[in-house]
Amino acid sequence: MLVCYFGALRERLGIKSEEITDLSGCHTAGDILTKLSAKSERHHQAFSSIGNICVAVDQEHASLESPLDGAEEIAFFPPVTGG
Amino acid sequence: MAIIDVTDEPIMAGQTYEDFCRDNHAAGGISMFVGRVRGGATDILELEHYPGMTEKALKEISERATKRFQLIDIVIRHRIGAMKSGEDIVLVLAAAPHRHDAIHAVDYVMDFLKTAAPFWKRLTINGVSSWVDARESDQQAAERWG
Repeated sequence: MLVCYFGALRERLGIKSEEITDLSGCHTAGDILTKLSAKSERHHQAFSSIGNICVAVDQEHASLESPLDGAEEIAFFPPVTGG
Repeated sequence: MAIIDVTDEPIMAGQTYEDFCRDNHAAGGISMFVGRVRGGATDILELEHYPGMTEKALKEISERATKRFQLIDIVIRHRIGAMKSGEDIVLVLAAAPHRHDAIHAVDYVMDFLKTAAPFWKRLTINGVSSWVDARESDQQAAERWG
């Protein structure tokens, strides 16, 4: 699964995206976030630094409770600020 | 014919308005909003977005607005990349048979563009950069539409 990052989260992680192959125990978007948080101290600190982290599953707005259901792409980002 | 455009080129609001009027000569009302970069002459605003999802989100917003306000036509054009004070960030045009629908549609689109379209602003003032925080007032504005 491709994991994408945007905005301040992308900057703090230092990467735009990464592949996650071990999805064992991951049923929701929140499960992915928990697994990635444990991947490195950088991940943990970056995720912790963003209040109210947002998620999109296959480019649709979702929540941390959203099921993965075979999704191919997930994105985490701070609240949007366009317009 | 609705236009959804995410571009790193100048928005050309005037030309887009002229083209929109020509294409919708029978519309009784056309409403236009242009969001611009505030600040001093040396400030830089950068717009990051989520390619693919951005276009889908804007299309969904335009379709909801078209249905809700019975629009004849709509344009949403949003800039990405770096821009300076006074440059246009976003343009929304709505054509409807009557003025209230056109005016309300532009307001509706902007409220959801600010809260649902995946853009992130980064502002550099006097060489110091920071990400712009989302505002609770924008969320409240979107929620008033029910």
